Amino acid sequence: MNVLLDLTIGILTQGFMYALLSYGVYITYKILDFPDLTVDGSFPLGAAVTAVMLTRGVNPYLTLPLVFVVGALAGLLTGWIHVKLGIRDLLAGIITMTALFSINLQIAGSNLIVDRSVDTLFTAAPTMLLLGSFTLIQRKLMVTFLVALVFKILLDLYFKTKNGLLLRAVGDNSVLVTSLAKDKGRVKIIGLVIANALVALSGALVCHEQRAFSSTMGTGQVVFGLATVIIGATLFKKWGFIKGTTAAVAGSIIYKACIQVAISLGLPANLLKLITAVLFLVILVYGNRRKEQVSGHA
Amino acid sequence: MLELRNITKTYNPGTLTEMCLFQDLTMTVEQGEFVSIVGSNGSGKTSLLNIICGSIPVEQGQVLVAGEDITKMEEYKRYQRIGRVYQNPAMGTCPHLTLFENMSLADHKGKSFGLSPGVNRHRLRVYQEQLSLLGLGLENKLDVLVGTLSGGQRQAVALLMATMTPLDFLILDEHTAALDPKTAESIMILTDQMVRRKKLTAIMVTHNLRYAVEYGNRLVMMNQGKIILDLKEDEKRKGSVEDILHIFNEISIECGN
Repeated sequence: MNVLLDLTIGILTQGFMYALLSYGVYITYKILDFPDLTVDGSFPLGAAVTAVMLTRGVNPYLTLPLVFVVGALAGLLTGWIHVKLGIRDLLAGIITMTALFSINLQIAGSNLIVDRSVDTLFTAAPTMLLLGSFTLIQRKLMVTFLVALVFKILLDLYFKTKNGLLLRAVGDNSVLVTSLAKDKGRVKIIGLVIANALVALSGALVCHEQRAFSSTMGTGQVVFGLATVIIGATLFKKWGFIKGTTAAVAGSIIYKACIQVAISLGLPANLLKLITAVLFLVILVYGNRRKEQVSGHA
Repeated sequence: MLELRNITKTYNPGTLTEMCLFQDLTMTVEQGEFVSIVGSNGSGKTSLLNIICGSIPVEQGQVLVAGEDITKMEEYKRYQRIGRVYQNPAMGTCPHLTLFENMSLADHKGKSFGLSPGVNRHRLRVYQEQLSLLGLGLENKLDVLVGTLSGGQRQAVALLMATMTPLDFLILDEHTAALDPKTAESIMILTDQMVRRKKLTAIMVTHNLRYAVEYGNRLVMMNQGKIILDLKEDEKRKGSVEDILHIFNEISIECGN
């Protein structure tokens, strides 16, 4: 029974940590209609910066705002390449992602392990003061839940502002944004900046949790993000009142649960990415089918 | 006042398909004029609008608005004082935003989009009043996603949104062409009312010669990048659809259409 409970807590923690990545992909893919591959680079970027800072003794809480800024810069680079240099969206992301692979290694030096003696988000003073009576895995769950919740609320609020409305408009009909005398390129860049800041933050949380950075930890994160957003959107389509951010969290948890179950059933970890790819394909095909059926009825 | 001075525009310069559309084109639109532009396909009507709005660059010549040279100004900046309604009703609105959100966007055109609330409930009454003037019952549908409205309704909303803030010009780019005849007629009537009520300067490209004759106070016919007929107020009133059609057919036959 305890094993099952621990497993559930583990899945939820994973789900909440990666929910930030899902928010980012939700912004680029769903709102901006921009398939942003930067994610595969900005996610490990967040982890690399975090691992280095933790190792150097930077306050664990301070790592989060710093990672947020660094991730934002990655988004800014993709946006600049796309908007100012006129490179196609997919290629702009690939360029930044490729560059980040080297940059991440430059930052971290190599794959990094954060020493057990170093405090993380889950073991540093304020957390211990508030949640000290809980076990480590319980604390991990609470802290990651809190972070995911705070950013969900912030994003939902942002989408309701004028700036957020313009962001939603640019993905929906960029011609209209131009007609409103607004530079649609700038609006896209803002979206990419916010999205990659969130993705990097997700990488930071994972680094706090695993106490490790590896240069390959970004591989497949875009696909993961897309899958969670599409799972969430597909599941909650019928309930119009469910927000996109909520659907993204749910998608993230469901996805992590599926993977965990597969591993528990004896799936070799080496096959994970293959399974991810196949799962993603199935989701996409299923999504298309539904779309066709809907338009067939209309 | 809008002035196009000695505009030269070439498509695909330096290639086998090079095509000089405008050579030394000059045209002036006075404050308060409602110009209808007609002409066969490829005569340069839409290119003319795109040059005014800055959607395409020109090789030579100048575009002046109220004496200010805007030839080099970026497209989005020009829309500060230009409203545009497109042929495709989907272009003028955001389908996945509600009518209220769409109206709020248009209401805020040209200002900065910061972190204040995107929609303002206090403006609801104003939007309802403006929508009720369309006579489509949209004043009760402010919470509906615009994508669920019909093409005619969306075009009416697009027209309203394009004219919500003060404008130097209203650009109408075949804005009734994608609608059924009855809807097109009612959009045309709405346009006319809107232009009169707000005393707008408007430039309308249309394939409908009857609209060109019946509406507006100036008629321009274009052929192969040249203005071949320019009827002002009085001359235009004397002209009939048949007369215009006659001239139109002559140029079309000359071109071998």
